[in-house]
Amino acid sequence: MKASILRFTGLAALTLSAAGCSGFLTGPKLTESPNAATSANGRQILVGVQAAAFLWQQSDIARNMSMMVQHLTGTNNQQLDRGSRYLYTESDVSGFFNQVYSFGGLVSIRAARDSGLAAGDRRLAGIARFYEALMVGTAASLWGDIPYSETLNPQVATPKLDNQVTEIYPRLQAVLDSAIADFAASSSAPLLAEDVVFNGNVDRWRRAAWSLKARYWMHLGEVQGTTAYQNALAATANGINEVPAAGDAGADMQGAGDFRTVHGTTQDVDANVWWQFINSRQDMTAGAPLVNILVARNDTVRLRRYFIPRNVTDPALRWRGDSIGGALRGATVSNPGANSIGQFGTTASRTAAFRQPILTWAETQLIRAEAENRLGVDDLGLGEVNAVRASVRLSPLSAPITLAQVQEEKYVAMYQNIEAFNDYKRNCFPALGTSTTPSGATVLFVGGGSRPSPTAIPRRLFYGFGERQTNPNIPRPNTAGNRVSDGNRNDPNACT
Amino acid sequence: MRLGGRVSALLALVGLAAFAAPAAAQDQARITGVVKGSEGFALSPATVRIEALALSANTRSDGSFVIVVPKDRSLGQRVSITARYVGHAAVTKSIELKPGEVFVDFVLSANPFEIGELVTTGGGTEAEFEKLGVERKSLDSLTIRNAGEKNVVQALAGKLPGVVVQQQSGEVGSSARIQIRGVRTLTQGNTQPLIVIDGVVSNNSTNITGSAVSSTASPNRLADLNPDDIESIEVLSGASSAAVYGSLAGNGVILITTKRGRSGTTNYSFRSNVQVDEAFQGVPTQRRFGVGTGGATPTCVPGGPASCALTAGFFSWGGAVPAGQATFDWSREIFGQGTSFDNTFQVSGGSERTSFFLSAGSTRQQGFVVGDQDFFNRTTIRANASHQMTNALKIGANIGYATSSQNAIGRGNNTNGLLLGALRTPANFNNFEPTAGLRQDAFGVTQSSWRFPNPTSGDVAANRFFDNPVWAIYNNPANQGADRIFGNLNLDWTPFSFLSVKYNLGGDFSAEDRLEARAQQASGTPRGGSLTRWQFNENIIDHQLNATAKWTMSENFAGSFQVGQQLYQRTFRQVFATGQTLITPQPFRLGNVATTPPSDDGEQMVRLEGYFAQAKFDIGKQLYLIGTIRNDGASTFGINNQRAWYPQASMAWNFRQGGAGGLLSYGKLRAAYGQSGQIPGAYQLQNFFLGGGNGNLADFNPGSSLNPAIGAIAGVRLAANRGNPNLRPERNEEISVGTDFAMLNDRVDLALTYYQINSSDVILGLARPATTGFTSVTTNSARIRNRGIEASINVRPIRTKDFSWEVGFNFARNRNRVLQLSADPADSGLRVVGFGPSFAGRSTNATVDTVDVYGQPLRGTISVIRGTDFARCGRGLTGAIPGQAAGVTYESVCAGAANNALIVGANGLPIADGTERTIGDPNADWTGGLRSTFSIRKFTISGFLDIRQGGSIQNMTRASMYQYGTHGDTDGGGDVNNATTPAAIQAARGITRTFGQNGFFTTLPNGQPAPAPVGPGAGTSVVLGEAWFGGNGGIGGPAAQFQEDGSFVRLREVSIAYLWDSRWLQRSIGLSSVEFRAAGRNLWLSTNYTGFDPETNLGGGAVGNTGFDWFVYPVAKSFIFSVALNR
Repeated sequence: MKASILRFTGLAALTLSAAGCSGFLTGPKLTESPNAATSANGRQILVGVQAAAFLWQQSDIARNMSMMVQHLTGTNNQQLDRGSRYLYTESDVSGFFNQVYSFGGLVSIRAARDSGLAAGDRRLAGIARFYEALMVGTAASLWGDIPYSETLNPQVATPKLDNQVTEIYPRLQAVLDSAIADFAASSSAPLLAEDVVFNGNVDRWRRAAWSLKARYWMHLGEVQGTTAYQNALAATANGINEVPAAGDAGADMQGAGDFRTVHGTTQDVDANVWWQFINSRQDMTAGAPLVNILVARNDTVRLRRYFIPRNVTDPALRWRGDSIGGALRGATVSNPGANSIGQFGTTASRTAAFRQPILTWAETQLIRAEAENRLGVDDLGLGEVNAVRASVRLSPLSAPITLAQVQEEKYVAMYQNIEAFNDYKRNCFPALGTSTTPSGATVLFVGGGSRPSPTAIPRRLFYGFGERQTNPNIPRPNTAGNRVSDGNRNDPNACT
Repeated sequence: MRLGGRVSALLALVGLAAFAAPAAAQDQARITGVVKGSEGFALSPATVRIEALALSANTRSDGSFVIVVPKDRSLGQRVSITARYVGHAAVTKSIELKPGEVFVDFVLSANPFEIGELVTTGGGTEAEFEKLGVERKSLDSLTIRNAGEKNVVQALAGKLPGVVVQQQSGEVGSSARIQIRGVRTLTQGNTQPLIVIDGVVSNNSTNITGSAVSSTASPNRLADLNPDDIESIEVLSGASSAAVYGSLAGNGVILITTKRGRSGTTNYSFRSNVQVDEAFQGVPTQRRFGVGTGGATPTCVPGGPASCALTAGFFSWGGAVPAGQATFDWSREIFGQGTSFDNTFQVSGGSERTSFFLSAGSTRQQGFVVGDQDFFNRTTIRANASHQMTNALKIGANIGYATSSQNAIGRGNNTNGLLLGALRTPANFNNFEPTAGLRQDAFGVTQSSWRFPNPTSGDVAANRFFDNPVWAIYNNPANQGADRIFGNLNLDWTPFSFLSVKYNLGGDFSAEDRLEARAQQASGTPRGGSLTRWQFNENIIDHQLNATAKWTMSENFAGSFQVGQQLYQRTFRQVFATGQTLITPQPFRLGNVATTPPSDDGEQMVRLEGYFAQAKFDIGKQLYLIGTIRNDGASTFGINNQRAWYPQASMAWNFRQGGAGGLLSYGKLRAAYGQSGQIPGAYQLQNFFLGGGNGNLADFNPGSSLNPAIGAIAGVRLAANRGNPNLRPERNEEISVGTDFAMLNDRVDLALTYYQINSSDVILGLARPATTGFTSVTTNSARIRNRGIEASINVRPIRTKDFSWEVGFNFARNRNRVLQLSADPADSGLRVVGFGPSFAGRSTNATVDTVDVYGQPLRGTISVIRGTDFARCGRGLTGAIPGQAAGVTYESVCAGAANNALIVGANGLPIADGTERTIGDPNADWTGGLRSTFSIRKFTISGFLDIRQGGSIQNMTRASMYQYGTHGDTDGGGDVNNATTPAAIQAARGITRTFGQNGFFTTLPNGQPAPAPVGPGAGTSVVLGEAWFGGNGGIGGPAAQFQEDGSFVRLREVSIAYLWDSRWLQRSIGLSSVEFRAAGRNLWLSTNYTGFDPETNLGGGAVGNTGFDWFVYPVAKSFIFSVALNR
């Protein structure tokens, strides 16, 4: 009997212990992650937004746009495929397209903006608006019609494409106007450490916003003509106005008012992205058109700041690098016999912490110059061009200045900047040879059929693969609306 | 030194054994006899046991046994004595104990299914074979041991139908992956079965460092288990058998039981194993042409300008190698011979109430890479003990400890590793010469590589582009160390005769520590060397309690009822720190670097609480029904879906049993239905702000990453994936039907099973338009179906007194189909990207494609290979064909042409088509294993053929070697002796071919015959050379041309063993037997695959897919010699 009681007690105890305990499955470390935050304030998010924007403006797309305008030439691996054979697929750009909107893109930008507005910090809201305009505008210039008005809307599962010319650019001008109003209502004190570009200086931010407005008006030059140039000219009056020191700082566009990226020095972490690439890969060299122009105009400061000279005494060969071996390499050079071009390098000047110029005083001056020249007003841009020339210690040009001279000045100044591609589409300057492909090769697009070879320089990018797969509003690659040979709405005229 | 240690250990053992030899006593009972099969063949080692006295003995090779009963117990009582032998029915006899000789012989009849023996079925449940409503898949200790594998997972390869094992490569310490009945989940790395050791859920993680496609080999944690310690393995294939594990059993369960002691004589065994490994085979290479381009050799070659670098023209498309200059086959010469030594010492025994098993094992393995830098060492200790405290209560403990250390050489896509550099090295560059055996020390050794051949002492930080692979072996270490303790405490209580309670509290604690370093002169970025440290801790606590009540209504109606509870917790912690730019060449420590990029850490905790009930009914001694229901809650289930139910039911009808003789001696029909689940991963319920690196710009190149931290200013951004608070477990619903037959007097046994598994609620990060703000949302969205057939047949055609022969064959085919990735029709084009390695546009994915690019039905759609192909007719291509004369369109060329006809341009070369499609399926059509054993007196000869039919491999190694001009196919073999100009040299190398003729492009990449090519250049012969292989004919061209058939027939094991157990041995040395065994593994392989081996797999155990070859190591060919001393 006693034994039975013990047995029953034992069984009862086991039954009770098996009943489990409440809270076994929920709580910290269980249903709540110990590894990541679920909320953050606007200033913290702003840092993430800036890192994403800096990466976007310097990474793969910037490299490829530099190869499209032949500032640089791809010699190996993907750079050969993309930059010289224009084999640049919807998969290659998918991550970039996504990050206009997700991650450090629009979704984080809006979170920073809303956080700023909620806290009454209009300066933070203004900065966020500037980044919104920068990201969406750069994307619209490359892809044309993109989703914008319906994005980030929980009610819309598949945002529609907005008209690049009639919807997106006007909206971005309004966003920038709001930013300018935000800056006007704010003061530069206290400093804002999370704003690594201008440290909370609202005056510089306001001028940068005006310069960005001017850039976007220029994007409409082909379709709106005079109106666009007049608007651009007007905007530049309030644009970036701090002149960098003449010489190296001028060539590198390191003016205090210039919108430039900020970097640490660690590969794959926070270093200048161009440097990260060239520090690891040697798949690009200088583009012959750029080198040829710089050599012809004796633009020695830029040559020295852009490229590494060869260790040869012959000045004609100094800027020309190793042979890169035959037509197979796809290089387009003005002197095919020599078939040798300068070594692209950043170790000389564009080092790990180099602040990449994105939107600058020089660009503002040259927008002004182009607008004056096209409108036939003032000195046709001579003063602005000569101001930029003075910043790189070049002698002034004399009147009258031609549009081609203005365009050349901008082509050499916009080195490594995505905007150079937009300039090329509008100006078709300089005359660029098209790619040659190795015998038997076909220029092709993963996910998008093929295209004749040799081929013209692409006029837009494919939409990202990820978006195309999930959003039925995106046309299939190589169909109307998503052909790289078609111009965007703001680019009706092809360069021949 | 090693040898000395082994010899002294042997001597010590022999001395111990001799000392322990029992002295004869006069008044004891000596029970002797012979155990034979019904055909007269001696059964050895059969166990003969007197349960009441806790005495037992094993039979010798002649079937004889001796049990000595001490005088004080030989008092004329009658006891039962039982003889057992694997695959035979046990026989019990009654004998009277009296002083002197007692003779008792046994004749055991074959019982191939071990009817009547208890089979572990998981969760503390067990059932006799005849009551199982599902197939039984098991391996015994001998089969596991004789496989001779260090990693028990690899020992399963080919042995059981439907259990597919794929090893990563022949590298020491690399992982192996198990998959049962196809992939049922889309979560990479979650495709492997649950491992349960002695009733406790156990850790079999493969923790990769860096990337699954580069970095170094890492073992799966089951490598911590000494295969010699395993008594048996039972495999529960799926939901119909594993519902008792609920949400943990989605991929099946592998139940491992370790050896335990039995009361009786103390047994000792010592086994020593020597193994020699070689790389199985090389790949074709060319050795006539050296570095350069266009047939010309650059000046920057060994002996050329100091500090010169080849930044272009570094492929092996240069001049002919001068006569007399040494050349190398880098696919072979980078490998040498590996040796390994395994020693295991085991003691087991016990008294009437207490039993124990002790085991100590040591493995010292040296890999086959040249030099002595790749090794894997493991020491294991295991102690199992149990004690019967009262007649109702038994307690036990079971503890294993393992410590291992390893050094690996970089693999896969790794410029600091072995094969990426080696297979791209020109044949006439000597990787051994400047650096062999030299480790970079404080004085610095100047590394020369083929692209940087003449370094000077000032070139420490100069880029070598690819590390010289021999230098890399010695200078870029990847150390790993792991310690693990795992085991359980168990309690077996029978409070009432009808009720038993079992409790099992298990723990599994492992800590891994790694260092991966690149020396100062290593290539790549950051320059100046770097090191990375990882620590992983994974702990599992598993509590299982169950109670079983048995009842008997009548002889024909009985059963049991069982309830159980499981509480499970898994915690995982990871710390990562890295340093760049070494200050002094050594040591590789975080204190010796100039910069330390941000470190990282993380942890996970997952808990599960499950209850189950199981009822069994035995009706009329021939019909057996089992029903189970399990309810689970888990911390990773959505807040709104915290519980899940899993039912299971099975039926076994033994329509014939025990019939002696005749055609059919045993027959069973079985059917089962069940559900099991797959627990979601941790922390998928919420949206997060992230501070880490920039993950998904989808760019292959460096310069794609910026942390949201600029100097000291750090920030966050929203994760691109949206969490889902409604997440449910993935659910597998399985039906299986089958039959087991024993025929022809038990000479033939046959098992057949058909199954279908419908997986629903499969979790994936469902891609959403990024324009919504998130690129994916974690969702229960996909449906996957696997169905297949499994069969095994064993035949014993000869079984005589002196000779026996057994043949076994197993066969399995599985058809996998992704039925749906998303229920939303808008997602029709969706595919899951990144299920495995991806390079340069070739990716392995899950898709909903139902046909491949050739119009063939897709056999498997998980981990298909996607990529591009050459343009072919019938694929919807329209418009002008690029590069052809005006008016030449796809429509005009293909008019009247067969589908899949290759379109050849005017120049005789095919046209690339950029459309990405499904180009291959790495899943096998079927797998099989053929096993045969001959026993001739004391010799046993056995062999095992492992067969895989179908399943393609994307051989990107070949594609890359084409581009680099190092592959054998890039040399047409023309005469170069009289070629003086680069153009002439290049011409001599050219390969004249006509597309679609003489075996060149005459089959489709899927192996089907290709129709005749069409197009303006069809039939035009072309000379293929650098331009072709550097363009469309190499890695830059369509991926489909590098699809290869991965079928193979492999002599997985062959062995001859001799058992020496003469009475002299026992009398003089005190050993009961000595077994000598010589074995070979992977000695022969038949395959059409042109790479190292169709079995290797870039991702290893860490990823869910197979079929990708990118500079993966070959498989080892091994010769094994072993001696086992038993007492």
